[in-house]
Amino acid sequence: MLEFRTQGFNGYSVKYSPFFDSRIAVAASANFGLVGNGRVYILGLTPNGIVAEKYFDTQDSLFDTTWSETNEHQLLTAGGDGSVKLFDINLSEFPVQSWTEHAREVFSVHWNLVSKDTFLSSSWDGTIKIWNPNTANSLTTLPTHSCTYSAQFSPHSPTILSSVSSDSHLRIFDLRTPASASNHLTLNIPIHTPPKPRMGAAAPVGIPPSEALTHDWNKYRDTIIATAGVDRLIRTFDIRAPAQGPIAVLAGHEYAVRRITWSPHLSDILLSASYDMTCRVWTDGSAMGAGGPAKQENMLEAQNMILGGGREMGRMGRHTEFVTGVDWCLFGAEGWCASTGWDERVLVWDCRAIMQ
Amino acid sequence: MADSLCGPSNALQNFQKHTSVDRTLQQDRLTSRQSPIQGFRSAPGPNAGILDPEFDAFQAGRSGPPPLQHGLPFHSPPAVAPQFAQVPQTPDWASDFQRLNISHPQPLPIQQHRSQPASSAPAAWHKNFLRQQAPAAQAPIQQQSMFGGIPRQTTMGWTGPSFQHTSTYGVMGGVPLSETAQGKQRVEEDVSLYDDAAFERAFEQAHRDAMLEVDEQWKYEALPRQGDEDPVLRSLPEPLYLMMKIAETARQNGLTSTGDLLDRLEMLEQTTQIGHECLPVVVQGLKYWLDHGVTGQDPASKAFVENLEGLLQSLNERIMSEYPLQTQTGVLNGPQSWQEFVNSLPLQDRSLYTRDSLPAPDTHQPVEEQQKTEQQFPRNDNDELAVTAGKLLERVADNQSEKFQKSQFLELMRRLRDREVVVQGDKMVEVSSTPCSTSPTPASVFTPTGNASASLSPNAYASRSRSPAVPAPATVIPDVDRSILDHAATDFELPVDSEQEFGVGGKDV
Repeated sequence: MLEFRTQGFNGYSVKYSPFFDSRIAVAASANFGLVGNGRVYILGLTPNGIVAEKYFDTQDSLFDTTWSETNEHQLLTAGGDGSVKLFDINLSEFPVQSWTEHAREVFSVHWNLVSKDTFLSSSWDGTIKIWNPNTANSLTTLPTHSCTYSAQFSPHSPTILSSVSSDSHLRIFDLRTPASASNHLTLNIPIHTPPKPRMGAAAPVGIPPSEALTHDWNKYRDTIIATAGVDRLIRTFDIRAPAQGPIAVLAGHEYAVRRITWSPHLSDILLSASYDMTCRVWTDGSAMGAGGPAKQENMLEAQNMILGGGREMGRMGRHTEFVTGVDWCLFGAEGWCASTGWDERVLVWDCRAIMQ
Repeated sequence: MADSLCGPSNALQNFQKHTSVDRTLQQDRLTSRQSPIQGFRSAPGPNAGILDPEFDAFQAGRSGPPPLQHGLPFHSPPAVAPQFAQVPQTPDWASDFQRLNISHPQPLPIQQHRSQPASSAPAAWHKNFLRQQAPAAQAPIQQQSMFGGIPRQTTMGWTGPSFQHTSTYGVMGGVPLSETAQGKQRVEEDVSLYDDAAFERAFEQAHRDAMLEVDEQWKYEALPRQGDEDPVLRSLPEPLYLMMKIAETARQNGLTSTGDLLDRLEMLEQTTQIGHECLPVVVQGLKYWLDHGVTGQDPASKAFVENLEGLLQSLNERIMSEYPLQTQTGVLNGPQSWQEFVNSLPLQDRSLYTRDSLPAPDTHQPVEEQQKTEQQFPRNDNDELAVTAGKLLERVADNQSEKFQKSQFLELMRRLRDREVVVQGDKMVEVSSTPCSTSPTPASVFTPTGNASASLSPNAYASRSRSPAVPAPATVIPDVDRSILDHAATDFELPVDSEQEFGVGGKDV
């Protein structure tokens, strides 16, 4: 386990570079993001531990960051003042470009993983905006009408994107559809829908909607999306069957789940970071033989919403404040990941060490 | 939905998407939310005024420099006749008129040439034509009328009834045709003269109709408000009308008739059941008037001002209670509100609000207001922050785990709740004398943001009922594995095999 201290700044998001296995970006904010500045760190993993290669200060808190998919030296930040900034590591101080169309805090930025020529940002002003790094204005604005904590492009299609927001809905947009009355919206899945009643188990009880804070596309199964949020449950959905409800529900976190991310190496493994100060590794039970014994447990406690044979495979409790960011390393041995939290620390660790 | 997810299926579908794109949003942005009337008036097109003299001449009844030849389309088929017939539209006399102004009589050879394919058309239209022409046209002119009537006939095929009902065209349908048998050139002149007259008559008739309509409209509008001379006032919606009447009275009489004003105010108070969309407008108007219109110092006017402020407050409360929570309304203050209010009115109404008798909307007054509210913000913000922090602490009060007990963030929340730390302007300031151990960056420069309360929203933390009798740590935290690095690779060099596998070596440089 390697550690870096972001002195004076509380981490909000961590991302591995898609080009280098030894470079990490961390978005952090002073005073837990309440008031004050933001800072994005570019960290290098060296034989002597983690060193800060560079950092950029911003006027306002930073809540998310993402690496450019086209330029290995550039990265985006999501700011509390509604700005989206593009920084270049080779430059000294100021952003290359800054877009300020959002009316409120920007909470996520994400680069298009397929066409690589656009990126998106989502904000508390209830919109998702799609941008081209070379133009001054946004290309498209997609309304969600609620605080949108997380939005992502599909890793399998250049025109499909998704979002989760505080109204407890998972939305799928397809930019190929006409922008008529629906504004490219093609699916609107209520996350809090209980799973369909199934044989041998009591009918699930309806639960109230709660804010969804994070979601992620599965990197191998192109129709599977995992969501999580304030109700502490991680759910997976299949967008081919939107009315079916969740196909897996993973319970275990004690407070809201702030960030989840699917493994880039294994189709059933995902990693979560939560306000209960832990990171946990899960299998959603879709891999063969993964959920054998857990299924029997489910039958016993049927009133729980646990579904799909998934289970928690391990947890990492080294953070001493809320954990807000986690990401997998794309390279090398599978299992390496980085996490950050409000304890001003960035930890780089190997999942396999905690998995049982 | 499903087919869009499965990709484009055929070319026609793509074309349909292309044509059915809704561009209203982009258009909204292009006009930058100005009222369309203003945009239309203030930005005349490049061709504005070119046709004005022509139109004047037309209205004055002169046959001006461009000779009007309305009969032309019915006798000399334009070169585009076949295409014209294919357009399924009613004969638009305006477009005919335009076309005629720029095109002089078509050469005869073209007509004859054109008539050849037409005469070999199927017999159906021919019979149809004969049937329609039966009352007016005689047998001897059939050949000639067919000659001249080809485009019209084809047009009739599309729009038969409406064509017949138009009186102007009905007259032309019979008489000029009989004259075409005698000579092409003369007939054209006659027809143009005749049509001038008919056209004028029709136009005058339309004009009269329009005037009648307008008169009736005014009569109807004037019914409930007969005492007013100003038609613009009359056309205003009810609450605005009342408000403007109050303002008018105050402006004309100074403050001599405060009683009258109060009466009108009561009337307005009774109309607070008006539609929601009118309320902000009324409030803005009242506020502006309160700021600029009432200046007297006598007790009557003071009482009046008090009443007005009370009314304003009740209206404000009404508005606020109807807005969803956390909405930034921005309708009640702000330097531009009056200007927006004026801009939202139709153009002709605007003069009423920006006349010299009313003071021009000066901006310093609202700016002062805004500064006032900004000064209030920090206190409100701290109140809100303290409440939110308290709620958050309640949520996690049950958690006895060591980590939560030692959490710096929760400690900061405690201090915020107890007002030991407050956010002042752009800094977090410690109020008590005890040294603040929680402020992590006393030296950093803070900037105020609006995200404080939202970021601390208790919704972000799940409620959790846990018995206090179980003080066990909420999270079972594994002990620190000191040998964790033993089973982890510590060299972060890119392994050769994985580099080959992922093909990332090229990107690196």
